[in-house]
Amino acid sequence: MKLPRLIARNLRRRPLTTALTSFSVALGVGLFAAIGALRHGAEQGFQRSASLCDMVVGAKGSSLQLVLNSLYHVGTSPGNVPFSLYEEISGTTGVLWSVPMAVGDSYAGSRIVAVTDDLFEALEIPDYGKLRLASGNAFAFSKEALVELHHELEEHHHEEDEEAEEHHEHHEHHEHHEHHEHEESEESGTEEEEHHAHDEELHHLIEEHQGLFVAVVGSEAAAASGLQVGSRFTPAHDVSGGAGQEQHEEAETEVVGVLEPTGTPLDRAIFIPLGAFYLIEGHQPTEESEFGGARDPLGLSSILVRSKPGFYSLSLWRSWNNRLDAQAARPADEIRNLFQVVGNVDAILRLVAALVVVVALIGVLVAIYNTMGARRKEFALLRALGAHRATVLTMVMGESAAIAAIGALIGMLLAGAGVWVASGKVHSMVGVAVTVLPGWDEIQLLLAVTAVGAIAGLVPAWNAYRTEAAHHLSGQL
Amino acid sequence: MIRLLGLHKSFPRQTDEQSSGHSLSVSDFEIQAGERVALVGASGSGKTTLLNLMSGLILPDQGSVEVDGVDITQLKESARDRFRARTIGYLFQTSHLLPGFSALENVELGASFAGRAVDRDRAKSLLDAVGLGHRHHHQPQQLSVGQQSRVALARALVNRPKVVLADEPTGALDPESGKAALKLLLDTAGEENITVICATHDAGVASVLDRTVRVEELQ
Repeated sequence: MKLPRLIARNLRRRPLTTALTSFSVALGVGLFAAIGALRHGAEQGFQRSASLCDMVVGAKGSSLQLVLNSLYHVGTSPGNVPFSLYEEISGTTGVLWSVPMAVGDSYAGSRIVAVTDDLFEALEIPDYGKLRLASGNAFAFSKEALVELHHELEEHHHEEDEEAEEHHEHHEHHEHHEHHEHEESEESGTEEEEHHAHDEELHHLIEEHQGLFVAVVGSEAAAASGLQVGSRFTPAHDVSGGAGQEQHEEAETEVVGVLEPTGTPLDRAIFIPLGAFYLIEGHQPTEESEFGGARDPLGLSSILVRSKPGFYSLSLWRSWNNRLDAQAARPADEIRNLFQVVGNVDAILRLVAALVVVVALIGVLVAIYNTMGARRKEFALLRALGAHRATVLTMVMGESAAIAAIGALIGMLLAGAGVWVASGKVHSMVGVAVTVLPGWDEIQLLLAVTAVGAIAGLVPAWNAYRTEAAHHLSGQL
Repeated sequence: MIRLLGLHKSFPRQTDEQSSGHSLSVSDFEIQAGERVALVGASGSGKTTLLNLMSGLILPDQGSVEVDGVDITQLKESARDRFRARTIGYLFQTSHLLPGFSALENVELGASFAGRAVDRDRAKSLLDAVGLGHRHHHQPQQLSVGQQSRVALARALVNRPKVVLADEPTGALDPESGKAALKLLLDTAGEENITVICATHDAGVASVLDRTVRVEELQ
């Protein structure tokens, strides 16, 4: 009978002890592996999404907030940058492509992201490629169309401003007039007429661009909201997702395409043309609006940029960061920094899990050691049948190592199941797909726990090694 | 086959015992190949010690133990273990079957440390020969004491030993079972020319062997 079979039989002889000690090892290893795998998987998933672009250009403030909001659709935007910055960036040497973005609306808990069609044409996802549609088509809304519409809207609002100013001056001039009350009633009548005229103009504009009220929906957003090609929905103003959100009734939007799953936060978003975003009533500038600043209503939340590598990337990053009205954040750096902070917590958790493994292995040692007294006759018999002392020693260490290895394997399975459950949660929270396949780290962990298990068995094994066969071969086993 | 020469073994007094230490001396004792010898003597006379010396489980303080032409006192412990696994079959007063292992596996254990492939067919045929052909896969606790001792007999013979050392092999059996077990041992030993040395208190057992030796007379 070969040694492995002897070890297996000895473990089967004590099923409860074997099961309990293996399970205690499994819990520790599972915890240890799950923490590591989840962190590693999450970081990889986040970095995969971070590599969608080289830089995110947005308003001054927290660069992490800018990246999280623009790429992961988490939190709020730090503010707006002027539209002119997009025109400048898209024409800069060294910029391969740029996608302007405006956020702030949502539908059924999914965020609405206003973009140009460059998103569908330029964006390349690692290990996936360009965005593909599961059904329908992408919308067409080019940079040129955006620039044209933006200028049209700017002109419209400038005219409105000038008229408002003229009206204000006219009002001041007549303030001291004798027939003040009579004039005031005339003025308010004129003001209402002007507003009415502008509203009509805007509605005319909306009607003129009715074709812009279309959307392409990410796979998860489609599943969550039930939207499919041909569905119509009304965007809500703000991203809170709570009841009582203000609805953009005038901006009923038709779904023209649904994206295939990408394993990135893009899955959770609903994309509309930027032109439609600017035409939505609640996004119109008011008399208090400050054009060009961080609250410019015709500005942009951010601009995703892919640049030529090396020198270009660095110099563009520096030059944009030197601006007073914008900053450029590198998603890869931001996510790395974020995970460095998370890494400290992760290290403490893994230390605790490692201690659980150590305690479990001590439990294995104690469990085997406690059987030593009863097993002396067994060892004596094996020695009488010709087994070397080393064989007996190896057998006991093997039992300990086997319990540890079984525990480690079960622990890996538990960790896999835990990560699978947790990855669903991570995906629903930030849209990052956490995929964890057993790799070299897991094999190393399995080998390490088995080796430590064997070492833990050394104490009882040494006891078995020293058994003098001749002294224990009388009486029952 | 076996020669003990100028042998002396002493045991120091155990700390937890009141008795003084004891010793065993053998000036010259020889057993021929195929001979069946009964070792008799009072309790504590050294019968089991003599068997342990012949198997190499313990070493003498002085003298030599020659088995099949090999002085086993000159072998390293691992070589002695291997020699024992290949040359000697052991039978104990109680069967000493390993719990958790089937009857067949317990028999196979007898040939597991000889450094050669276990002959499963021989293990099965020995179990058949001792009347346990239908109990190959039974666990020890599913067997009667008599059946267990027959499994132990099959285990002692499975490695085709040249010598069988039996320590009170019928001590735990009723007279009928004891007689049957002894007959099986002697019949197989006769067929395979195995030397049998049997430590016993039982005059009936001694009477069916070729020679009876009183341990006290060996000194």
